[in-house]
Amino acid sequence: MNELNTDVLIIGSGGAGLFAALRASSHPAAPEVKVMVKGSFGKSGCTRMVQGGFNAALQPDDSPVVHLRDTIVGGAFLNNQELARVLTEDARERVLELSNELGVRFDRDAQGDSFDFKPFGGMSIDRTVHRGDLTGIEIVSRLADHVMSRPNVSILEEHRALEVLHTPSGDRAAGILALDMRSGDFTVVKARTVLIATGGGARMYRYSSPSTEKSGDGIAMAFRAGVELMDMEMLQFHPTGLLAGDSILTGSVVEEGLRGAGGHLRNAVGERFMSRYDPERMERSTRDQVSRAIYWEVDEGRGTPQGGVYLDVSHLGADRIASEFPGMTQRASLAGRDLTTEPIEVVPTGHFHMGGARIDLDGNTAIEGLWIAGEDAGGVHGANRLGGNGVAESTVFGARAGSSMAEAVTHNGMPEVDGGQVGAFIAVAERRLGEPGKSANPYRLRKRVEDAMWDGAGVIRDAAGLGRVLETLESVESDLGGVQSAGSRAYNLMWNEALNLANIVVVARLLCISALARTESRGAHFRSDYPEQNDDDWLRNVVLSPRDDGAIDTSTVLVELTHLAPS
Amino acid sequence: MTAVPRDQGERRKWLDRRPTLGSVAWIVQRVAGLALLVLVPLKVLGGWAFRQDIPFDSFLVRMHLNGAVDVALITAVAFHAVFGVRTVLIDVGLVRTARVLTIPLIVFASLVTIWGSVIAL
Amino acid sequence: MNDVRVSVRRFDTEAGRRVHGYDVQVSDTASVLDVLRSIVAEHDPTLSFRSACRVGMCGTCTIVIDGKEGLACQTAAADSAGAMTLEPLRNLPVIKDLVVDSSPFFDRYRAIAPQGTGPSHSVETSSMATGDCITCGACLSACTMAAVNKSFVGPAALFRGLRLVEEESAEDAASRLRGLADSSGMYGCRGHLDCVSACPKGLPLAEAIHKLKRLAISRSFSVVSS
Repeated sequence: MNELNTDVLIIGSGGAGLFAALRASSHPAAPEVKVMVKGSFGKSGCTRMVQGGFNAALQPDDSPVVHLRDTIVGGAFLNNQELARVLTEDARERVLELSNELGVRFDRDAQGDSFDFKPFGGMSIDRTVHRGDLTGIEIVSRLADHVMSRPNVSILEEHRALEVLHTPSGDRAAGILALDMRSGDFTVVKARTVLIATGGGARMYRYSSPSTEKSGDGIAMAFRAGVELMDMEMLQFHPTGLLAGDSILTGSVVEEGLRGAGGHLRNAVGERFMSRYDPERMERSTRDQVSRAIYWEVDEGRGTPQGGVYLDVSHLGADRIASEFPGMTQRASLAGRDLTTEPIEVVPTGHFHMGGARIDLDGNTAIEGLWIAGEDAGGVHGANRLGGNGVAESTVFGARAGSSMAEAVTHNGMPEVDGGQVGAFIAVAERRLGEPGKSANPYRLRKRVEDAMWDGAGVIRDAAGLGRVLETLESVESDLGGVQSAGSRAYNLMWNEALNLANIVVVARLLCISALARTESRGAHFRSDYPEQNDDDWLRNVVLSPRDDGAIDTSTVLVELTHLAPS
Repeated sequence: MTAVPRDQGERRKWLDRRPTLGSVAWIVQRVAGLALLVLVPLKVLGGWAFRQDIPFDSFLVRMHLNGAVDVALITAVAFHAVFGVRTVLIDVGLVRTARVLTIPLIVFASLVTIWGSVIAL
Repeated sequence: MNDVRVSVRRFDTEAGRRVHGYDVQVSDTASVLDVLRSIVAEHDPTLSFRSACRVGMCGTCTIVIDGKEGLACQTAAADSAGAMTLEPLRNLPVIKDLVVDSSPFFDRYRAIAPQGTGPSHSVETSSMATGDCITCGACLSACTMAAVNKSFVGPAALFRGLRLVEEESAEDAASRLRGLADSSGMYGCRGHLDCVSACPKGLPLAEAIHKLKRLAISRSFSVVSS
């Protein structure tokens, strides 16, 4: 087993992790920063996959107050309004910093002076800064270039964080136990400050869009470490995930721009069914409305052969499609379709987890020495995230956490870890390596979870369905105890899949419990047994707290309407 | 960050160094160029010796009249020339043109070589 | 459904180098990545490979497919017509099976100081340099110069270098061009064009290197004469 120590330990290299590393490493005290990544540095995660853009109130006729209003209305008033305020204020500075100091080249308007702000769902003023439709690659690449150039930053690649470690007295976080995937050895990293920024994980569903290595590690670790979570039932489905047959490509996002440009959604009988759900906005309705509409069409027997609906842009003209949407055209061809001449099949796909850890404005959790930022944190988006606010959240709160951590380093001593705790965690992880003679296949078990979650905790939920999912999760968790063993410890994909599944089960369970608790429908959470939004009783967040005996406490807390209230 | 053994052995390097169209074109052009350093003076001096513009030398005259030397010279000229054209195209930035023309240029050089060899032998 | 015979060039420290064959059944829309996932999930869980985004944006799943570099997630399995050969990237040490150590690639990339520092100073924006390199490593793998010249920074680094030269102030650009004007930089390229064939994003790598050479000459004259 290896041991390392550092001042600032960051788990994750997406928008939040990278910005935190930049901020922390440039603090005058020049702390030592280690960035631990489950996959390849600057390549894993979803910030890199951002196609829409980055919302920032930079236009002369715009202001953070308007952006805040859009965000809170979009979040169905469940947002933590202070977190949302910070998002809208700091987003401007982050965009300017990316452009003016970090070498990011955003698209400019025709005159070349200001950014090209594109319209995006839920924004009353166009404020989405972008680079073509590949904003994420540009932002992450430039951030990674800078982080790697810092002499006081080092990277622990292909090290998956397993658990948060506490001091022997349990009074604060002391570091992380990780698995060095390449060798299969365990590594303890002691740290004065720890940031969890693993990007949540909506990859618990039959159809999901995020990067495939995500498995809710951050949220699961945080909860096991004693962090409270909020809004766990709030999981956003992107309405148009590609149906590409039996391929991992299935579930990947078909960008909203296709509908924005005038694409049509049709069911199996050729009807533009959105006329029955939102006749005014049709296909340009909000993500949650379109997702539900598609789900109901399929549920009522009007779905396509692959179980979705048709998205047709061929009437917009082959040349226009090929030139404006080359990425989507290429993706559709991998699915065996020519986007310029025929419709593709789409289905709602698990996309983003609004819920997550409770944090303050600087990413502090209630556990000293532990910060959380990005998708792993909850509260910024409320019941529904607006497009363009995701990369804004990760960069804004990653930066704040990084500063806060660097400050804390100046007065936090290097903690000791609890050796007994380390040993216990290693034993749990070793069991997932499997044993000869055991036969459970984590890939097949995972499919069971994904199918169950889709059926019972997806776009439409009810009490009975959620209960069935919880039963399936129990059964899978027990089967996970007998995983088949496969080869050596080094770069063992099956071992990692078992570790992934263990965390997915935890996060899925938390989502279902929270979804059962919220007996109303709001934003991305829809209960067919409680289909109405109930502002009288439910302007509250569902909070899940871990108890020492392993039980989960469910409670609610009133939303503080500090800036805006529903009219 | 344990040191994990890597496969970097000699055979691995040999697997990595492989002949590609571009690298073969480069090598052939350079080898042909070197060959021309020998073959052109040989041919020219041999011709002069044959006409006795320079003192008669039976070796040089034999080389000048030798069919195999002609074949070697034509081959070297043809391939050095077409790969030289390719290099010039790349050097002036016409990369796509260079790639598109690579095979046609090789075919052309081969035909010239065959034609010349038939006559020479 | 399609039957594919897959040969994988494998390596690990215990069993050494070997070629392993698998008979796999995949759907009509399967990519090479789907083939790999199917092998691990259903046939041989000891096989190792990398992947992440599966939509061609992260550059993690780059391998050599039927002799040519490519993104496993963007390559249709059907293109192999029933017989597929998979190898790890070239010019990089192999950790296990198809997983390579990419630090030689990133060490070269970082050697040119790729971090840009500020808004663009350029009036003219070269469309060539605004292409999005995903640092997948295919170009370095294919480059026959990189195979023999370990100090050559490679096409990806030079491509990034060109964009920086176009964005930076005149003095910074001139000094960057000087730094790249030797056999570890732009003059390490001999125009084999292997990188151009290999780049999964179709980036104009050779044209970019050519432009660097042109700029190095024209700018050094103007610097000398000023």
